Amino acid sequence: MEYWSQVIKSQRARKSLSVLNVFGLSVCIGAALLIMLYVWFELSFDSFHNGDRVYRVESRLYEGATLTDNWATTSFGHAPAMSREIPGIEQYVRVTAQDRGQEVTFGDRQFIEEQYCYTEPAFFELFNFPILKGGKSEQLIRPNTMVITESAARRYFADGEPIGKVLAFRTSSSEQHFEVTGVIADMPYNSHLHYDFLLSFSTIPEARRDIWYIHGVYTYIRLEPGKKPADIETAFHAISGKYKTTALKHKDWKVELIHLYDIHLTPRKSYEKEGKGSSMAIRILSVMAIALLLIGWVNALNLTVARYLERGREFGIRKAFGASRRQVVLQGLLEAGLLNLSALILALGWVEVLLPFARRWAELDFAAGAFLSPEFWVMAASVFIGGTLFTGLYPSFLLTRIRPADIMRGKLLHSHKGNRMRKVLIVGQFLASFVLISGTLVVTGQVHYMQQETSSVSSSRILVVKYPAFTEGMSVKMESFKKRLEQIPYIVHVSVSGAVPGVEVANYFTNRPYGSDLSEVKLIQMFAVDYDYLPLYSPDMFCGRTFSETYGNERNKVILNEEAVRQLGYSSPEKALGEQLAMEVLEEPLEVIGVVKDYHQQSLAEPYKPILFFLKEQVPFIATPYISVKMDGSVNSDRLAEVEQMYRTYFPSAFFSYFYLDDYSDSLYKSDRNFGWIFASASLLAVFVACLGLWVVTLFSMLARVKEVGIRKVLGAGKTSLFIILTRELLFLTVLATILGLPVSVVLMNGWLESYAFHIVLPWWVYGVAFVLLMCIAFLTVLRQVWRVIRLKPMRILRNE
Amino acid sequence: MIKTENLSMVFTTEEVQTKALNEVSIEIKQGEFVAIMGPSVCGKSTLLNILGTLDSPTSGKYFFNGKEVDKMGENQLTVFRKGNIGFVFQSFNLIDELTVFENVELPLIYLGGRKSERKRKVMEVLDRMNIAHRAGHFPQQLSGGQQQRVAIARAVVTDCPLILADEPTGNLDSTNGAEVMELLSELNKQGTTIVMVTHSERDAGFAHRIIHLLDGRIVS
Repeated sequence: MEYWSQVIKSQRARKSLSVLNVFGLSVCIGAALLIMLYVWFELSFDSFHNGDRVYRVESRLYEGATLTDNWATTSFGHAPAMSREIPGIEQYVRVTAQDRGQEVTFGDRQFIEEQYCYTEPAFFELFNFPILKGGKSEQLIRPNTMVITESAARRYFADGEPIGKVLAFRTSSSEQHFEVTGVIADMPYNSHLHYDFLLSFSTIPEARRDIWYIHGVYTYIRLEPGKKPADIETAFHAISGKYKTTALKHKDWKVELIHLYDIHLTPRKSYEKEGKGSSMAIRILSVMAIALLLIGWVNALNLTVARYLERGREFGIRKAFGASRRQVVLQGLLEAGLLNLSALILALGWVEVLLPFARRWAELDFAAGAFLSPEFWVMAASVFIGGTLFTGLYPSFLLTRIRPADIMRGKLLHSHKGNRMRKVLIVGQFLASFVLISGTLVVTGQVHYMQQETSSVSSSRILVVKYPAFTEGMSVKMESFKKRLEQIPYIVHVSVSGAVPGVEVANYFTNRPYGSDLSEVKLIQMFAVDYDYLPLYSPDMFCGRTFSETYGNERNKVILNEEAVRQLGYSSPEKALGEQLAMEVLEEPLEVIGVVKDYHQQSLAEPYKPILFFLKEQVPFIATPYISVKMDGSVNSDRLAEVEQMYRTYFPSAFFSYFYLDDYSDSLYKSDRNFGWIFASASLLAVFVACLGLWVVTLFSMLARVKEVGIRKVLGAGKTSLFIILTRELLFLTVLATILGLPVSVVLMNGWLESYAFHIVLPWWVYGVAFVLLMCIAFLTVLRQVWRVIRLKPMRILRNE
Repeated sequence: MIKTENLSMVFTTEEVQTKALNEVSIEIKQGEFVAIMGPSVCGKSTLLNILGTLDSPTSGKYFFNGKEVDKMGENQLTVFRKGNIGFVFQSFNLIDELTVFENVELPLIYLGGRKSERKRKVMEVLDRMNIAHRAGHFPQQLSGGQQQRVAIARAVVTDCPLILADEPTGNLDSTNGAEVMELLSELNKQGTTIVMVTHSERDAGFAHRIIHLLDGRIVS
């Protein structure tokens, strides 16, 4: 009790400094906690399953040592064959990879649904999605049955009973009906699976359930205890030969088992629908959170040391009157504890206030119910204990090691040791600020580069309407709809296609130069288009021409991108012109009539992939879910309404679903922009708090040097020379922090940039700018105090001394 | 060399006004050794500070070699002090972070000049003060007497014509005090004008004349 009253008295004595100290530390702890909550959320993906032994089986195709195809999916046949022939697989489940929306109808309620899949009853054995209605063992057994989520049930049945109800699912080419047999809770945010409708796998015709030529399912397996994933991978490689389709005969066919908990943070592969996290970003964010905490603690330590130096006489007297080493340390720890506790409480307030904004901004419901989870409080307690020891132990031991007489003579305030410690702390803070500022500039540069590379002046003029669900006479109606749209004066082009810029084309089919050996086959993305697609999006042509009706029927003509030309082994794009290709599902050859330059079909995180444009009528089973409408100006609400009205005229029962291409392209880089914002915010915070620390350290350092300034003035020092003397150390410390921070930043930011297939070269000017910025901020922070001391009348200073 | 006319200095706080100097007029000739004496708070140090241009008078005039100093701005005063006035303080006022050599070199740096020339001058004056063997030490490693000798060395290193000493023996024992006074006396004999504030009759005995101050006025 006696200690506490002394602690509180000592805090009151310098109220404004204590407030500053608590405020600075709370800001850092708050920001670090927010980042840690986000990191924790990212690391928690799929952790709610009992998935210790659950893996996703992913296909890897090699030509020699080169990985040519890297897919998140396997073929339908993998799971049963592996389970049958490879010992150690306890259970498996397949989940189909769907890529097109379906129109789902119940009575007068109709929505376009994209979150659906076909899956097997074992789904509920491998995953832990609680079933709210219906028995666990009865689900997904019968054909045409399904399990839906709570929110889907609400969407179609409001408060009515969903069990037993039948919903109609329609695509442009089919119609099916499914009976609801169960309801599950909505799949949580931190799940890599996000489905509203689980359709029974047995609905798929038996002949297609175990096929090998379509890599269209995600395969999950649970291994028997003690079984290693590498054993399964090796075992599959050994049996893969007998299941290879013609297309894969000359490939080395392997699988890789990705642990369920790691799926979210591993790099994106083809056929992967969900938004993925980045393990590099998580690593950088973790470093950032620790850096923010360290900056805050260092700041508090700096302030505490400075105050202890100022209060040296008090501690000297305490020691002279018999306070033991333990008592001095205890008082120091209690003071630090009080400081850290106050800062933590304030920081929790910051988190409570800022979390909703952070969630809205990130469009992620992360850290829901964090305040109720024991893990969060363990994290907060660790921050408190770590902070108390960090800020309390060193200053206390510093005082216990020095003789009372020395403390009272003020030796501590001017001691080289105390000064050195302060300098080390300032360098530490500046180093972190430097890394964060330069990081912000790099991230901003990369995001800007990606947006510039993918944006086109015309994308603001393109409206993309989703292809309607199945109706009678669809192709005729679609042609008429297109023609009518094109008659509207402000509409320039209308095109139906399998993808639009930003969307993965997928649909890998094997192709090879016609007449070449089967070993020459390559997997190439099949991009279904009509005559208007290339004129509408006008990618740069390398050579040749685009499809044109003036040449008559062009169904057996194709256009390649440069990457496809390379993979097919043509020595140059010009050489590919006029050559013929053999595609796996067609008898007759296809003629190459043009080559487009490589362009970014997806985000710049993805490398160029081989693409083959073909007229959609040639392979009708490849879906064409997008209708692009290009206008002569921006798409406004009147124009949108007119297109919708036209759509309803031709497809009265269909659901009008659309998006603006601009918004879509923009959304590709949302997570990158978020990352940039996190960086910028953390940098601002770090700089702000470092400045706070610098300001206080300067305050004390000026106090310690005021006599020196007086003497120098008496001896004839001018203002400029005094300014240089008082700030040259700051310049030196900033340079030192820059030199130390440079390699840290280079390693971190290069690592981050490497995660993009296309990225900027780490710009060196960034480090110059970061240094100058840091320098200016540091000088502005200390300028007023330095100037005040310089302007003091010399005799006033020396008289006070 | 020094002439003041009706110098006054008023310190104003929120509640009271204190007149530290009241129309002081003095004249000091080149080569003189003048002691200023008086009880505490009589204005001795204030007068010395004004003579050293470390403080500005509230009213009155101050001429140095015929030039009116009280009208000068801060920058002009800084230039004026360099090479004209040396200071010796009771509490030495050496910079703890600098060595003896660096402390003495400081006024030469502000005056400008080549490094080799500075080194020669510093070593010469340290020799004269019999402290050259301590050139590499820090002030806190020296005795009080040694520190004051360093302070005097610093005051004379620029060959300035005037030294202002504010109770130079105040912090020294009698032996060291006597040594310092001998040094100042020796400098005076070599032509340096010295104005010294002191409480000590014995120290004042070294001066050619004594100015007595009481309540900010000259009484004799």
